[in-house]
Amino acid sequence: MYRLLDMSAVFEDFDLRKVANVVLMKSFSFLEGIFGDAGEISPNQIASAVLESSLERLVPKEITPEVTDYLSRNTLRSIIGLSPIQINTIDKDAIRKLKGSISWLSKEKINVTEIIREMREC
Amino acid sequence: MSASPLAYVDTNVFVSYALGEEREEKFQIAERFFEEVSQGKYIVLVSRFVLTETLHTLRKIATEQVYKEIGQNLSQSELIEIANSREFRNEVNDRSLKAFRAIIECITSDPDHFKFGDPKTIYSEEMFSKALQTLSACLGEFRVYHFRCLKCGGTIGCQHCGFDWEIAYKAFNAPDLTHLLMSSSLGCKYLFTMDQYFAKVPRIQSQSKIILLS
Repeated sequence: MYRLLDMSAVFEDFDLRKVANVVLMKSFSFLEGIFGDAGEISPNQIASAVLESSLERLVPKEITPEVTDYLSRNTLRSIIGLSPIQINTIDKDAIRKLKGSISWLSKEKINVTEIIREMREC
Repeated sequence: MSASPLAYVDTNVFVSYALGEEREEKFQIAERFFEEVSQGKYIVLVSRFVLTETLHTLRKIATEQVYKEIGQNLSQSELIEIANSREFRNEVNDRSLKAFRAIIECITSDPDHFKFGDPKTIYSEEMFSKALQTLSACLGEFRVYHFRCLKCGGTIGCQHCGFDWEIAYKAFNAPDLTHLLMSSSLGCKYLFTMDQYFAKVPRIQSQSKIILLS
């Protein structure tokens, strides 16, 4: 019978950010030869450049209004921790699902228009 | 579907519909509007400004609800302790965020009926200059209100001087005008709201048409 090795001690001090920084710092000397004034470049800038070029490959070349809308929807979802959706996702029942979807938030009947009015006048 | 005009929907319509019939006094008005949306009469343009206001509204509602669930007859120091406690903060945050996620889940999964404002839209200072011109040309109204208890809604008066009424200035305001001008900038033909104060906003050139739902 095989037993898996206990790797917890190995991962205890494992910090992904630290590892990424070490890798980027090693790349830094290589980049010095490419950029004239390498002193101006920080690992964070390199990381951003790498990320941007990766995103460029993922995002379609033609940014149609539909793609912009799709990206907006996923950006919004990511802000509040919802998982991304596929570009072809269409829930035709969404309007019905929205109706009363947060009725549990209050136990009494309220007048939201009045609450918002008060907020806007504060 | 693509021929349907874009409709900017005010925060009150959104939240009212999501709260539902059991919890919202004006729900049926909002429901009628969303029925028209589902029939393809309009496409809802969701502005991030509306969503920001939505989250704030949900936090207000959650705070009021959690407060009402706390026992009666607590002293001020006891209430301060509760209000500053991690449990109270977490409870309000968890409930409001859960509600907000439920709304976002629905509106982001139906691109046929809900569109989002172009993130590259820029709002100019000139836009707010129009708002200032409009606001400076109109004085609102003054209303007299009885002080009311936040918990039970009963009328109350000051324990020291007996003062129990106030005169309040009521009018459409900077946030209302911001919604309206943003609506125009985002290319919406209509702005739908349930707030009666919008009826008093004078027509600004090239703005969205205000539809007061009632």
